[in-house]
Amino acid sequence: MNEPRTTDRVFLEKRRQLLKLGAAGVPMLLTMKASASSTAHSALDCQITIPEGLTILVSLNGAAWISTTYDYDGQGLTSQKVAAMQNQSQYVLPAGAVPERYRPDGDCPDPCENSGDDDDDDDNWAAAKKPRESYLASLLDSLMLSKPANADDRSTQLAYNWGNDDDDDDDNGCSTGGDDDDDGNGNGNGNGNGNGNGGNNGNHNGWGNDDDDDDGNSNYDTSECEYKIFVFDSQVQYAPGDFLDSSGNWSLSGKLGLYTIVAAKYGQYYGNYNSFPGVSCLLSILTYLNNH
Amino acid sequence: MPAGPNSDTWRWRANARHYRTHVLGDVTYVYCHLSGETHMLNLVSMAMLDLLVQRPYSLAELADAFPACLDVPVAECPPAVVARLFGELDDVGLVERVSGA
Repeated sequence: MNEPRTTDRVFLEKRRQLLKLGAAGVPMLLTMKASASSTAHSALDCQITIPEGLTILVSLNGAAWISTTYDYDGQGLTSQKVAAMQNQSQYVLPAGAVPERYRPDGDCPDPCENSGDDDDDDDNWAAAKKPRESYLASLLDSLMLSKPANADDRSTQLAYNWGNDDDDDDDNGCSTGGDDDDDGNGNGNGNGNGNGNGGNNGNHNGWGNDDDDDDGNSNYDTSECEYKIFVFDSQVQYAPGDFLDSSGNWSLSGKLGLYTIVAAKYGQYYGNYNSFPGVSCLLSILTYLNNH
Repeated sequence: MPAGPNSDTWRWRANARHYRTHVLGDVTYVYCHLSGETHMLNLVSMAMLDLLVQRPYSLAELADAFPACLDVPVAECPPAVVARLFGELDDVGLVERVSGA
């Protein structure tokens, strides 16, 4: 009958002794190491398990969307897939979070190449004629210029659609889809799809995101060059501390390097909020590095 | 959301589905599925882990509850010691944050 009480007393005494040790700074927890010759330091040796199917979408400006549920088909990016992935992302990082080496190059093919006759008398479309330094620069130029509206009546209604332009208009933004006679009725023949541009239907100020499915180039989707997607096909376990050299500098490369950066950035921005996979490990490493 | 990971308003818990335990004398071996690591916990740290499995605690709530859990007066288990023990569990990823402003 007394045995349990004795046991309780023994356990209580052990706890008290342990608490004294704990108050003195003795660790209450030890992490086992595979190698007995190296020092166990859980802060640096923690491991991250990346869930199977985790997907990271990186935009031109270095923003990132991370999803554990989006099922990428591996068949190339389209605007629809980008939108779906972004909708399913559980974690989002702002512009600049991802280094340039992981970003898409933004070097989109010119949608206006071979788009038909061009009589070289339309100065408004200089952007389409000059060699492009980058797709974005030329896109910006084309937006800044007085952009002729479509012959399509809908374009007049949407002429001042500042912000998102999700319409299925026929405007492909190309300079000369066929004859450019400035009468608003010309039908372009250059690529077989370009409707006549020019005309006086007003400026189509589609500032902001223009996510339209341009019938002018129905297959032209810039998502492939404006976004880059990284998929972890199977569960991966790794120790981010392995990317640290003896001086405490990071040497990050490959998909695991990207994940390490993204997890660290997430921890930097949001702490442990929403349990980003591995963020506790990264935070412990960063905290350790900051303190030593 | 600029809050750090140690805000007093945040609540934490241990998810028993994330690890397996094996008791050997006074030491409990805890294998964490998430990290793939095995940790050795003594009676005190294991008691805290068990307490955090039962329900989420903020650090302040844990400081109040843990001495009673060990059946010792607060003087023998002050909040600073509780915070340090909790920090050890947090460092190895055995606890996770569940809510908080």
